[in-house]
Amino acid sequence: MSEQIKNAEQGASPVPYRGGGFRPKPVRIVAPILFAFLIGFWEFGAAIGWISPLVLPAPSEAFAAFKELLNSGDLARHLGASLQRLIFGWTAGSLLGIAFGIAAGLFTLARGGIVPFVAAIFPIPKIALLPLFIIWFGIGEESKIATILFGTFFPTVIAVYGGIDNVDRNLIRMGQSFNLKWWSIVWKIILPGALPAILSGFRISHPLPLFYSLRRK
Amino acid sequence: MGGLEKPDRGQVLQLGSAPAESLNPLTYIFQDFALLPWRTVKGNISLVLEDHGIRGSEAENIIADVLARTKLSDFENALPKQLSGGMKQRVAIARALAVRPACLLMDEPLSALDSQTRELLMDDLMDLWLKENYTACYVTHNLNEAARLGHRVIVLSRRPGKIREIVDIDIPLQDRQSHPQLLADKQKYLWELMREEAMAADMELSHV
Repeated sequence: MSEQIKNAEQGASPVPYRGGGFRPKPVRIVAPILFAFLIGFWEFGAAIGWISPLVLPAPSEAFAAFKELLNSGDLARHLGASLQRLIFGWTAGSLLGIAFGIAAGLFTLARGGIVPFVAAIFPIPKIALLPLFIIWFGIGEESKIATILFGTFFPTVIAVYGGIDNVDRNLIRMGQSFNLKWWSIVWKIILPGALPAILSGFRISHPLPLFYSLRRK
Repeated sequence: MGGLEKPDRGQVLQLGSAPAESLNPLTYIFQDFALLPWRTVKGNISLVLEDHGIRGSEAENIIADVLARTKLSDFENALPKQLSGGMKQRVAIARALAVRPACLLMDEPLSALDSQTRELLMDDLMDLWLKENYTACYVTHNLNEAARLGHRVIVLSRRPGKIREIVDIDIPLQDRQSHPQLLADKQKYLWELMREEAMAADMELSHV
């Protein structure tokens, strides 16, 4: 306090703080509250007849149907089958994606072929290809797996070759200046350097198959 | 000079052959250190030995030796991000020494460092040279570095780089600190040579 008075006497005023802001903090409680509020609103709307049960059944009805499925054992069976498809499709799509991504990241010829191809196919919603897959692979498991595989393949290719492109050129030059073998440079410098980007590609691609299998229902 | 760029014209020649024990005759030290961030100090050095088939105890001996010469023995398991700029460059120097170069190519090795660290590292480079002479080609914009460390200074003109003058500095390295006047004269002379060029370069628009 006395310091403020002294400053005022000398005609000095503190410089106002103007940094800060632009840094949203994660607050855990907001999302559950919002979620509960929306569900409550939905239930309420259904109860007083704003929302027709044909368009959108009330949450309580949906829950009842869920319990029925659970009790009859259908759910476990369907879930098991879906999960199996998911794991298989995602693994195969990722492995293929990594292989093609690395090729596009390292070789001129592969890049010339793969990148335009990926750019052309990636924006197509994979679910739109489902009728085609059903014709090609039949209505069974294969067409479902193919959708998931396609869905994971493209984002993975893009993440992998993008990651390789962003490896610090200086590290590669360093490898060359020490006469490291081509294979050593790829294995010890380029791939570890691209790994963060590849992993964040997985983070984007792993929930995708969930959508694809949901949308099929 | 190190074979990482293709010359527009002419070629770089190497007279005679490098000593047999030299694993990588022309070895770079980079301005930005070029250490692999996911490898420890030790790992960064063993990287350049692995391809020569040097592993196990032989590699351990070389690593221990070069770390001792660059005063890094206590930090062999540190990651580059834990080290200061000066320490990172010492790791890069240790890595270069590990392959027993015939000629070190130092590309502005100290210009990414603050001036205190730069002083310390210049002393280190000098000590290293006094203990065991080595050949180095040292590129710098800093006249003080040139005058303190160089035996023969080649002044280049601005683009296209042509040799303007070759200045020999025949004061022994270890005596240079004790003859500040002689050194200052050399430095002043170098600056006079470069002054106009530097001014013109400052005004020049780059054509990229």
